[in-house]
Amino acid sequence: MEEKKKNTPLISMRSVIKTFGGVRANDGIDIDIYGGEVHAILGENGAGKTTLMNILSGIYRADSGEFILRGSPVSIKTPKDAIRRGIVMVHQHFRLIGPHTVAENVALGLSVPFISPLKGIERTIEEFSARYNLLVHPRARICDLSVGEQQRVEIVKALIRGAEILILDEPTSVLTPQETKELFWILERMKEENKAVIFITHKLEEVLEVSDRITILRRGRVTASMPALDVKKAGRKAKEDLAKKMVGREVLLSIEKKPVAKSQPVLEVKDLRVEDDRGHETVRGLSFDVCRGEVFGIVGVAGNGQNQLVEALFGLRPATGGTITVRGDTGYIPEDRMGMGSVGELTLSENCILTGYKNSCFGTGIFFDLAYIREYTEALVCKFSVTAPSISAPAKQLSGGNLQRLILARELSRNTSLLIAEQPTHGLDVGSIEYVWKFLLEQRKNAGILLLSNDLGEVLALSDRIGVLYRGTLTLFDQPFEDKEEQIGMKMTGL
Amino acid sequence: MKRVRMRRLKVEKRTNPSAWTVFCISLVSILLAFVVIGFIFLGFGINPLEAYLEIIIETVGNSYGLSQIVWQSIPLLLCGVGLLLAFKTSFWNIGAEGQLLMGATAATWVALFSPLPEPFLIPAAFILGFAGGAVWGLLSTSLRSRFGINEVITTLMMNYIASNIVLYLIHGPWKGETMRGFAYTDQFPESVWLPTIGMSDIHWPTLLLGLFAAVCVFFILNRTRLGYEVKVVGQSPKAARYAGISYFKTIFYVMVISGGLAGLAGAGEVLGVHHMLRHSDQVSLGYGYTAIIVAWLARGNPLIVILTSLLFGAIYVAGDVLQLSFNLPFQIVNVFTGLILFFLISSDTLLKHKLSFRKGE
Repeated sequence: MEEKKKNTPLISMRSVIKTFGGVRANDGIDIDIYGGEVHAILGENGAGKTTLMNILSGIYRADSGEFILRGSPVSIKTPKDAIRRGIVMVHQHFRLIGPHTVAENVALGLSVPFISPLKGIERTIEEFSARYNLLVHPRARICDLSVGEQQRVEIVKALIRGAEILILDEPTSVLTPQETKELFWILERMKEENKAVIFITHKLEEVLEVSDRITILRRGRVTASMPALDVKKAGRKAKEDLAKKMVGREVLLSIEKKPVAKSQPVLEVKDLRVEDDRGHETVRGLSFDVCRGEVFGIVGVAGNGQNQLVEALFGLRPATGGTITVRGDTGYIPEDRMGMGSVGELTLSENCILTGYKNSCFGTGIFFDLAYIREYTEALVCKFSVTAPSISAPAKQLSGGNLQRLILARELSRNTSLLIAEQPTHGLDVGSIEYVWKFLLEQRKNAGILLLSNDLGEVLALSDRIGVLYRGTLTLFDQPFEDKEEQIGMKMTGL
Repeated sequence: MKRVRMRRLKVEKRTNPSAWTVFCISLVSILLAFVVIGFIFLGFGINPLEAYLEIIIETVGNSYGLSQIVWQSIPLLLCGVGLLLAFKTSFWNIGAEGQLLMGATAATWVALFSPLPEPFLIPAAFILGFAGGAVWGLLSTSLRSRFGINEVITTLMMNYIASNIVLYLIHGPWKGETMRGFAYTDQFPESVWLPTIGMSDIHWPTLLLGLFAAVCVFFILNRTRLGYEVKVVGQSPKAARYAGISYFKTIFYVMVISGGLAGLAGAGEVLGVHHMLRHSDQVSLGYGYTAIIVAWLARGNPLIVILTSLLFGAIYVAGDVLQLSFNLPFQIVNVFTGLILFFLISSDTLLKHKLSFRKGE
């Protein structure tokens, strides 16, 4: 009997599929979560981890798929359904109200008595804090707490709601090493009580420390699932294997890359230092150059300083140290193609002149030459085969691939000496990926290209030189890459 | 057991509503507002049908009513066009009322105290009126750029400051000597009174300025680099940063135009209607606030402001009719405009979403 109970998963997910506007975020995922285990789900950004967990916790609804809770199928339609069944998620960005107290935040959403509603809650918080050694004062205001303490509040909140399955989305990304240790202690405690913890992360090393089972997602599919013990026993080789499965190359398509003569540098970066919005130095003394005629690929898991680096290069964020020298103009294909690279409400032709609208060819003085802009758009749309209802349709009607073609068309046609391409094929279908790759390689004739991507396959396919960005520092790799693939993959995960 | 067939409401996102859809939904929401106002008439013991019939006869039913509508729509047109431009930039200028009053004040100074020769007085009054409104608007933009203070609060507060400046002037330094103790300035010399069309009150120079402004803003939005910057900043500040568009430079130009047009409206009111500066509630019957709805209803097209300002001009005249024929307080106009705004804002959801019924089991 005991044995049987142990072998029934607490919850099983079967062939979960979720599509966002043509992109399959989850493409038939099967996962079993057992009680008394920490189950790590590993994958890069965009692999579909968070989407899957949002489905499990009722925030999204799967297009299809089955959930089996303790042996019987259930449907989870809303976060309330999920909480009622003991599934609670602690989001990467906490869902707390800053000016309110801990008790008020915990009470939110619980049924509390009308008169002195917080009295019971405060006592409960203290009980749970003692049991799990989570030291939070119920009357403290959230905004006065450190990030680690805020996370504890979220965990207390989840436990008070009766969490049997606790989902932690990138829980360690905001913690200091000491806080991480404390978090792991709490997870051990939860295991003892036969609760399940789902731990989402892309940090391989810490996963091995805390988890019992590891599942790897890549492009919306499970690529591997195994007990953590196996990996620990097998040692370094198994780790390399995991890293490869996570970021590793998937031969989707191959592209012919003809060498182009390399000439003078168009971008020189010396000892660059940049801080993020919170004042943390996320770019720590980078030095590299990009020459006309080459693709310099910077690869790394998201959140290792890419955003701040690009913003500093494009002049959107001040550098705190070092120098940036650009010879000529900079073209930029931003990662956020909907919010930054285009304006959804504006027409295709208006979007085609977004970065070049000041150029005198689009009209003299304050006036636009609308006829020429129309002609120019027609030419771009035709040359880059953008499928669109019409050039006066709003850009938000374009599919992801077509929108990216439009942005690519705009930036390549400006003929700048430096082109920064940030995640240029993220979320695109194979056809569009090949298209974007072809044009980027083509552009090497006129420009130096700085490619930033967290897809190792893409960087390997396009780059003439590669730099791995990890925690704001760069490790350089030169051609040939064939035998360095694993080395690069390991560097990306910090091994 | 009988099988129950249920019909479920299905909500879908609407990406691009056609002009016809927008027109129909706007019309229906205005009509709904009129239905609700009908109940208010009932509350006063007035048959709503009778009231609406009377309103129609007295407004669009005769030439005097029609001329009154046009006359009332002039300040709404000027303010509305300016506000539309600000709203396009997502700069929420609620301060047309104060900008109008400062325009009126500046024009009054020209009419009463400037040493200019006669033929230059009217153009100078309009130019200074424009400048007065623009400066008043720019105070809010500089607070925004310097200290990051939300423009909704500052533009709104500046209305009260402007109103009190007017009150101070007419009770204090500018109080007219010929006015026997009333709080007005002296009457302007007749040479600065604006000409009117025939027997009507329509001061056509201001009307022309309004129509010209609508056309100009239409061209600015569709043909110029400033208009492009306005649209990008208004839709996506992030994309604007990426495109190298300066937010503050854009809102600077926008508020010069937006505040300036409200200032012109104020100049037109004192030069063409009152011929003096008087209590701020008399100079502007809340035109700056009503113009917010006028601009909103035009859904981003400055040429449509010409129509929507006429609609609200008619509502002002309807308020007069209700006051004269049914002894209702003039404030009923505010109830009208408030309810129309309420229904218009609610209808926005319908513009962005499509509702349909689907059969469920």
